[in-house]
Amino acid sequence: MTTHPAAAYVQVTQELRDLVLAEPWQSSGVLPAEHVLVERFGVSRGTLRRATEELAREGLLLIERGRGTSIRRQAQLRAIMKDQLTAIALPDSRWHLDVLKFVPDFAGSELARERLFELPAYQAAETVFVAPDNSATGIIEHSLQQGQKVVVPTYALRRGMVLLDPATISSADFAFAATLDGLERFGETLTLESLKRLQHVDMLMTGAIAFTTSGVHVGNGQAYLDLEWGILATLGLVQSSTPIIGLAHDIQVVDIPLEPKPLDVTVNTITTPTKTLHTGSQPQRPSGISVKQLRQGQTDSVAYLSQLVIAPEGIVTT
Amino acid sequence: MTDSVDAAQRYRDQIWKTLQLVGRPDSRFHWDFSSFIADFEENEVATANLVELDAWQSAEWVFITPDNSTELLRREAITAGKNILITTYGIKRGFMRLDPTSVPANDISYAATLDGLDRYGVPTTLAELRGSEPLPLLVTGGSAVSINGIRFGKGHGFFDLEWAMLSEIGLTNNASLVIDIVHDDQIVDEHLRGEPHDVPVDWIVSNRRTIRVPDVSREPGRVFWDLIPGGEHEFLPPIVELRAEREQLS
Repeated sequence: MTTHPAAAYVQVTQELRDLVLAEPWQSSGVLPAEHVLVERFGVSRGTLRRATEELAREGLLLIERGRGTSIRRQAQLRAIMKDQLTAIALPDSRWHLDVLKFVPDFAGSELARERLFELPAYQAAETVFVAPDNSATGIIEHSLQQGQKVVVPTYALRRGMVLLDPATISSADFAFAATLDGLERFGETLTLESLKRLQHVDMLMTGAIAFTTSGVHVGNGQAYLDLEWGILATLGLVQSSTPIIGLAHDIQVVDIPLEPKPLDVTVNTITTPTKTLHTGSQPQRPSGISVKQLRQGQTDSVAYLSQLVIAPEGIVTT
Repeated sequence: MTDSVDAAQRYRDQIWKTLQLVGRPDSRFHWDFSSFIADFEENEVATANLVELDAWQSAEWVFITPDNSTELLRREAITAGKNILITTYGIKRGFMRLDPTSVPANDISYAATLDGLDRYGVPTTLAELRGSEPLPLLVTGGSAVSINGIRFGKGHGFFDLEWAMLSEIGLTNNASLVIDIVHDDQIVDEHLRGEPHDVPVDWIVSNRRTIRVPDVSREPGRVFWDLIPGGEHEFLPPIVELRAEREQLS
């Protein structure tokens, strides 16, 4: 029986994906040589290449001529988390259970938030930044009740950040204002100038696809947290000492040796429904944005970037 | 008659340009007007026009599409104590019911949004809906509508499908009225011929006009099963439910 070449390619892509997802975290993360894989899958070199290139397009593999093909570990973790997250996620009003499009809320998230609210740094904060994650909606509501000003990016930072000011919102509306739809109604659009006038942001809070126990934040691959940090840092609103707190379900916190990339912002503390984890991360954080962290098209699609000074190369740390 | 598929796309393109001026962005899709039916400037005037109609005032329950342009109307419905039947965005999670008595007075505006629907709405299957009183009124938004009541949505046929599914379970009848609420610039002053699956509307209500479409003839709705396999509607929960029923019967 002969197999149709297209079918062989689809099948080997799936087999290769399974192989990549099962690759232990402790391994080198470099795929075996091409001839080894050709023999293993019993396909032609051309078919294997097509499969490898397909996974590279998906962002799961990095092909470097002369150095071999390696696994992008964050993408691997994201792909592994996707199914697990779908099982615990509460659906989004637009994305439903497409959990790589948004950070879902989950049953029991209020316990993780209660732990976060106990942190002294939270209680002392006057102005906080909260990512537009569904699991963080309850944080925004609580912050408003505490009288904190809350800076929230619009989804994908497309229309910049907005300010929720408890002084101008009726307390009966705090729960509504904390949702993305409510943000449209109660959020005050922040220009770079009006952001700067906030003078300081005392704490950042975010959900994620996953966190490592050492504090690496794995989002949806668009690095919005890094950009948001970079924007706030450029304006002098945050310093390396400004705490960043992650909120997650227990299954989203993984103990794997994932090295942060040079410009990745790591979190200091993670709260889950069962634990408060101090990551021991006392990082030097970027003081701005570098061209290197921008994804294709982001200069056009992300607000503020066209007006900010963007470092061409690596970044100066504070 | 010109090729109506091309014509539809042409009108959508034209209307999306209009929406750049009068449309309001969505909390997730921003200005990508192909992904959602936008709220618009002066919607409060259009909504005020709509709630004056007898068809609205006499309806105890009403189907309203999950469009941003119908958010304000949902607020009016909850305030007036009308039961709402609605779909989730893209029908991905089927239908929901919104019982106005379950919404605290402080949260009426919240419950009228799609985020609020996830908090206050109750998912419902077609089996649970079967046997309910037929809907006296269905309200939809749209990208564009012709003066003779042929509407265009986002191009996914969601409203036509909603009408079809509700008809299949007996929730619409000859007395059911359909209203399209739009910005006046979304009204195309032309007579267009619809496709067999199109659901022409009885009323067009905008921020400037209330138009009773004359001589609307509407076939009883039905799902076009031959178009379902391989299409984007194939695995929507209520379609899966209806298909299972059909297979059991045959």
